[in-house]
Amino acid sequence: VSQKHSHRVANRRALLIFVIVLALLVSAIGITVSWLQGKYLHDEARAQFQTELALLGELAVEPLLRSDYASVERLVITWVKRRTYPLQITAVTPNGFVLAAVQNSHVVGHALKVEQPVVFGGRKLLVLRAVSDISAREENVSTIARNAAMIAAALVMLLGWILWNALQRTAIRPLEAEIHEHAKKERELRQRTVELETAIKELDSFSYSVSHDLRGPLRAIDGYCHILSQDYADVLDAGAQQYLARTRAAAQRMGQLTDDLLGLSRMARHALNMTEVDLSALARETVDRLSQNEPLRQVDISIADGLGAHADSSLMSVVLDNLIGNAWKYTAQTAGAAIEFGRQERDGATVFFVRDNGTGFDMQFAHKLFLPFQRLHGTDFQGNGIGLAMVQRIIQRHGGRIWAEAKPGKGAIFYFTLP
Amino acid sequence: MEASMKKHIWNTLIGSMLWLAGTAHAELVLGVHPFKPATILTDAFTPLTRYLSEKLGQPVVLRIAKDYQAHIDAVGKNELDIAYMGPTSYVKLREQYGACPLLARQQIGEKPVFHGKIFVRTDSPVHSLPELAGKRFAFGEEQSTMSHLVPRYMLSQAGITVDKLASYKFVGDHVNVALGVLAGDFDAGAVKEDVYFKYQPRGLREIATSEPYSDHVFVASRKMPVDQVRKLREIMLHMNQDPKGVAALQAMTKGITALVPVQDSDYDSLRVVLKKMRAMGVSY
Repeated sequence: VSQKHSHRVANRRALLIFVIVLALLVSAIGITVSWLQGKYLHDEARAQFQTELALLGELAVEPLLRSDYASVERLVITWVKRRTYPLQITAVTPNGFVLAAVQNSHVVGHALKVEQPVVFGGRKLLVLRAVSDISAREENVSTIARNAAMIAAALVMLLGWILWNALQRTAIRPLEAEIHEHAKKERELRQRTVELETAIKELDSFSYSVSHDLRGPLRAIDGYCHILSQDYADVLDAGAQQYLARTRAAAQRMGQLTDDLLGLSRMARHALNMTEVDLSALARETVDRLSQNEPLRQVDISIADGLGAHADSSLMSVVLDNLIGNAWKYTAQTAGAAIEFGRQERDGATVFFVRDNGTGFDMQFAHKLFLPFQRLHGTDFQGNGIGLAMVQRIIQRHGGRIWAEAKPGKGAIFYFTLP
Repeated sequence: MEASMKKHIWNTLIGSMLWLAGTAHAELVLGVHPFKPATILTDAFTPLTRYLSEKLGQPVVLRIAKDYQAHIDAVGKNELDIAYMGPTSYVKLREQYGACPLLARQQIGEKPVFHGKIFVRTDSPVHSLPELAGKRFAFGEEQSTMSHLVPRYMLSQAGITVDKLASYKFVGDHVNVALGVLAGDFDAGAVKEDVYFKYQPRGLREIATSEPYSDHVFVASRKMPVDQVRKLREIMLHMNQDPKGVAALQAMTKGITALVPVQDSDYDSLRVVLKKMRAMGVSY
C-alpha cells in the first residue's frame, strides 16, 4: 500500500511538473503574443494617426494657399473635436506662429506623438504636431492579454485534469497493478529465497555435521585395525592381516570421501573475496605442483599469457587444480600428452578453456559430469568424483557457466566463463 | 400735390396690406455680409434671429451673402427684409439703390463708431506707415471698410500707395488678415479694432489707428410697412434693456453694448473717404 501510495505521489508530482511547464510555456507564448499584438496595435495606431494627419494636412493645403487661415484654424478645431479619442493638435506656421492649438481632452496616458509637415510645391506651409492618447488601445490589449491568460490558465488546468484522468485510466492504474503484482511475486521470491537459503544452510550444516561426526568413528576403526595388525601380528594369519588391511583401506577411503564432502560443504559457505586474479600464474603453479609429484611425466604444457579475471583467487586456484589435474590424470596413458589452458572469444564473451588429448569421454554421459561422486571412468583412474562438482559450484557462485566437449580417446575440452 | 399725396398714401396702404397679407405668417429674412466665415456668422447671428422671431411673433431666418456686392444687391432689390451692413456697403447701397429704412447701428463700448487698425507682428522692425514701403500687405475684402478702404486711404495719406508695397492680397476677411500677418505670410495688415484686439495677444502690434467711423448698421426692406419698420426699430433700440436682447447682441460681436439710433448723415465722413479713394482709382 505504501509503495502504491508513493507511486501515486510520484505520478502526481510528475504531472504537476508537466502542468507547470505547460503553464510556463503557455504563459511565454501568451506574453510574446501580447507583446507582438501590442506592438502591432501601436504601429497600427501610429500609421492610422499619420494617415489622418496627412489627410488633415491635405485638407489644409487649399485654404492655406488662399491665405484662408481662419478656415484652417476651424478645420483643425473641428477635426480635433470630432475625434473620439484624446487628441491634441498644434498647427504651426513656418515662422513658428501657433495658428491653432486644440485638444479635445487631456492626454494623460501613453502619448503617441506624430509630426506631419504640410507641403505643397516644395514649400512648407504648415506643420501639424499631434499628440494622441493610446492608453485606451493599450488597455484593450491588456484586457485581451488578461483574458487570454485566464483562459490559458483554465485550459491548462482542464488539460491537466484530463491528462491526469487519462494517465490514470491508461497507464497509472495498469502500471500500479503490474507493480503490485511484481511486488507480490518479489515478496514470494524473497520468501522462497529465505526458505531455500535456510534449507541450504541446514543441508550444509547437516553435511558438515555428518562429515565431521563420521570422522571420529572412522579414525577409531582405522586406528584399532592398525593396532590389531601391529599388536597381534604374531597371532593373525595372512588372511586376517589382509582383511584388516582392506578394512583400514575402506575406512581411509570413507575418511577421504567424508573430507571431500566437507570440502564441498565449506565451498558453499565460503565468502567470495573478489580481486583481479592472474589465471595464467595460478595455472603454472598447478602444473608445477603436478610436475613435482610426477617428475618423470612428459607432458606438453601450453599456458597462454595474461589470462586474468575478476574472481576469488583461492577458489579459482581450486578450479584450475581440478581441471588441469584432471587433464594431467587422463593423459597419463597418452603418448605425446598435451595440455593447453587458453582463452577464446565466443559471441562477444570471453571463454576460458582447458584442453587435453587424453582419454576423453562419451558425450552421452556429459550430464553426469558435474554431479558429485559420479565417475565416468570407474576405477581406472584415481579420484572420488567430487572435483568437477566443486568446480561447477565455484563457477556458478561467480555467476559463470561451465561445460565440456569430448570424444572417447580424443581428449576433452572444458570451457568456463566468468562475468 | 394733394392728389399726388393721396395717391401715394393709398399706394402705401395698399402695398402694406398686400405685404402683410403675403407675410402675415411668412418668415422674415435677415441678411448678413460675409465679413467673417459663414459658420462663425451663423453662430453669431442665430441668437438675434431667434430674439427677433420671438419679439415679432414671426419667424426670422438668417441668410449670409456670398460676397459684399451680392449682399448690397440683395438689399437693393428688396430680397432681404432686414440687413446687417458694413458702413461702406451701406454707402454703396445708397449710391446704387437709393434710400432705405434705417433701423439701428451697433455700438461697441460707449460710442457707435469704430476704428480700423494697421498692424505688424510684435517682432517686426516696422513702426510707422511709411516704413511699409516694400513690404507685403494683407487686406480683407475689397468692399470692407476697415480691412481695405479706410486703411488704404490711411496708407495713401502716408505716401504708401499699393504700387509701393512689395505685394498685397485680399485674403477674404478680417480674421485671415490677422492670422496671415501672424503666420508670417504678410508683413502688415488692416482690420477693424475688435478683431485686432482679439488677435493682438498672439503677437500683433498696431502702427496706426484710423479716425472713428460710424459702425455697422441694420436696414429694412423698402417694401416693409412703416409700422413694421417702426416696431422692428423699437425692438432693436431696446435690446440692451432686455437680458435676452443683451445676450443676442453679445453673440453678434464681442463688446456690443447696444443698438442705437442711426441716420444717413452718420456716414458722411466715410463718404468723403470713399470719394477720395474713388478719385484715386480704387474701385469698391
